[in-house]
Amino acid sequence: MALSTAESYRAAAKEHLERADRLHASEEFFLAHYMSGLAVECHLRAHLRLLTSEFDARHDLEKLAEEAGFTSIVPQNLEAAFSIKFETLNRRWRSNQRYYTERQFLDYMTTIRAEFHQGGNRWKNLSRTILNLAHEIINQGEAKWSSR
Amino acid sequence: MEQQIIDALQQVFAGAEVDLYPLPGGRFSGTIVWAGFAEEDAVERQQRIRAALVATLNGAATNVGVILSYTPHELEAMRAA
Repeated sequence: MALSTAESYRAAAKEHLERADRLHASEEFFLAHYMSGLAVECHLRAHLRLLTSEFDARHDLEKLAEEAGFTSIVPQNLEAAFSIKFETLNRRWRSNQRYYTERQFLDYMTTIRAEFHQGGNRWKNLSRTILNLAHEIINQGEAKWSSR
Repeated sequence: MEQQIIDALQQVFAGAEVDLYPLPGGRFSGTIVWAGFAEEDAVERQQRIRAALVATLNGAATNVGVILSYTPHELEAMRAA
């Protein structure tokens, strides 16, 4: 199998995010949610691969961001806003959700109170929220890609 | 600076667990875990954190970067997921 490079991780993130957009549009909300988080994981791995060729097998977005120095590329005036976006996505997306039933998924979202202050179509809201967050986090990384 | 940030956050958020890592330029990012965040959404938490840092560190609050906030309950659920 070909080794993933920084550019291939980056391209995979872009493809996964586009796939998530299409899945959301076709109301495949669970898959759109999962693909959004996976896109962010790939993007963080792209940044990490710029620093090291060692593979971190964990799917912990927070640790990947730390090891990739991702938080240091966020402009200082955007750090508070980025904190909100990243912690919200990290709280909601777990790599093991690919093994979940829909019931388990919704139970998890209830446990972490993901829909605090939110009504309406539950599945659509969950999918839309993480999709928007994934776009914003990846856009942040893309904005600084060439300077790393 | 790292201990000053930890002390500042723990002064306002009593009993919080604060974990920081260094950024370039002597700055720090990290996480804060505090049960008192349970009734607050991410925006409210961040407003409180930033206000606490400015109130306790004054100008040195600019040494704090991204701070992620969780409750112990959330962290437990995330780790179990």
